[in-house]
Amino acid sequence: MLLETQNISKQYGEEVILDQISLVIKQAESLAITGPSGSGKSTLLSILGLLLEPTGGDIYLKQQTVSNLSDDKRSEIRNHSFGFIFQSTQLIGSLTVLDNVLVPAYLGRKPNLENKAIKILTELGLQNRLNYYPYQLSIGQKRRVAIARAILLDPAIVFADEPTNDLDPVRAAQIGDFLYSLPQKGCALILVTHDPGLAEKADKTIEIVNGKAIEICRSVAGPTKNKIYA
Amino acid sequence: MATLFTVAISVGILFALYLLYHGITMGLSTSENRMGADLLVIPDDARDLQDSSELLFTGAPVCIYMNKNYEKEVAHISGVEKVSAQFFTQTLNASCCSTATATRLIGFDPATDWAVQSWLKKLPAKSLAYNEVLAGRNVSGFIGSNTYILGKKVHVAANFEPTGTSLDHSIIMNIDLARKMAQGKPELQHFWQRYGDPDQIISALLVKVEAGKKDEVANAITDLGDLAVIKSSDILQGIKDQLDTVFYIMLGAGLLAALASIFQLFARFYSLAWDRKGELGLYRAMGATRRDLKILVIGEALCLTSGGIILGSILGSIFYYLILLLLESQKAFPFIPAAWPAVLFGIIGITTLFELIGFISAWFPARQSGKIEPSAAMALGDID
Repeated sequence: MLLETQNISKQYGEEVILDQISLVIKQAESLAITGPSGSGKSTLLSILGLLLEPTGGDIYLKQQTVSNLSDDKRSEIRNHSFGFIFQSTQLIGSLTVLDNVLVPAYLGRKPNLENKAIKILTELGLQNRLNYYPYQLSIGQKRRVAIARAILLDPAIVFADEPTNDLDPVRAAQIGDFLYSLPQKGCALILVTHDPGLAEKADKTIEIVNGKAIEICRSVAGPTKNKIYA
Repeated sequence: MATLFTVAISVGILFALYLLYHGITMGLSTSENRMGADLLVIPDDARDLQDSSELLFTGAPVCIYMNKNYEKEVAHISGVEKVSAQFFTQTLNASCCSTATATRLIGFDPATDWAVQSWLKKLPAKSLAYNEVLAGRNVSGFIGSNTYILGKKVHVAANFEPTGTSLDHSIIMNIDLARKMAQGKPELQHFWQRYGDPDQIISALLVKVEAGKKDEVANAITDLGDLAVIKSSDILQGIKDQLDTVFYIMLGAGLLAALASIFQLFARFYSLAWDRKGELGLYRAMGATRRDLKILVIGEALCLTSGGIILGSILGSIFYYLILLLLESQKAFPFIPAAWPAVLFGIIGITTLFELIGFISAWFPARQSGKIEPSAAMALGDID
């Protein structure tokens, strides 16, 4: 097991966002999280990515609890083991494409990764945009830069929040294909999406409904919702 | 940029103020020590021709003359310790002299002088030969050790140290040589027709008096006839009082600018915690610790302040020259430019002060930034 949650919950005051969700993600596995807007998908992603602390429950990374870790240790895990692709790409406007990709390396004090960053950007078709600034890029190009930034340090898990949002079908398919190629390289993928086409390519899909996680089981006859984690 | 310029202007004002204050303080104290005479006696008609401070602190030629018998009369006044006569003349133009501009020539009497003697003691020969001159620090146009003054070839024995007085702009020589040089020049004949033979006239008397008798002696000298008395300490005090007012105004402006810098830096970095919440949250999401963010914010403040200090030092040098030019155009005063160690001391002091201001201004915003949670990255859009 790479990442496991046991009965994690999140409440804001009286409002229950997530209610005792338990999940297991293995190495090189992909998990899609779906659900209506405001259902808590992104909150769950944030908790899994150690961006947000749950109100209750435990999280284990490689069988080690991360619930009691210090803030510095959690930061270290995020830098070394996780990669993030945010819904609105979150590129830094004052940095070039190459420097944006290198931000995790700067933060992790890992020098000499320029060549690796250039190689990844080349794989993503951005070799001619290395010195461009984000405002000079299309939304699809920005997404690819965000993907390059997320995978620079060879994370164990990539977290993606609506990675194909706002993209045309062709671009969305390209991004989707690239993301689903990551598990083949040993990297787990957890993504939040509204796109059923993107979600159905995942090894597992869960839907958040009323704070609970429902696994979508697929068969020849079509998807069925038959299991509630909790 | 606004913050950078605010810091730069504050640094510039304070740096210029420091250089000016240092130069004037040094000038006043050195000239007080170097002037050597408690009283300077000049012809009464010269009082209207020359501003006293111009006479004392600039090298502008002053062709003022009186009968040399006044030297003996002043020497006999009760309370007078020493008297020494000086003869002033001037260089004319490039055809006669090596100096670039009309320069005051001061002839001193080696038999009675004590003011110039202090420099002469520093010379290898301990005295000035008849055809030798001493050049003030700011006298320009001399090339090599030999030079021409009023058509005569003389040897420049030394350039003396800055004094903050008219000596810095003057050429000093034996009184007999000065008289001889001036005597034959056609351009100066109108003076000798009016005041008499140069051998029989003098320009000024340096008077040293016994302690506490300055006013008494000054009154007695005035009673002798057509003489005016300049009390050097009163002149210096008057200049100090006038410049103090200018400095207080400038200091006020400098402190206000420094205060504006503190507010600007504080506001800049306080708003940074909010304006850049997404960016800082992103850094947190990608592995930055709370400490990293604090270091980032304080580091940015120190970099910004450092940029302002560099720019401000350049601005300060410009302010310094402009203000000095302005002050000198309004009033003659003793001034000795700060030497490199003093300039360096000023730069280090101002750098330390403003880096401290930058650090203090960024401290609270840095603490606020350290509280930004990594989940802030999830909620925001592109970071400009």
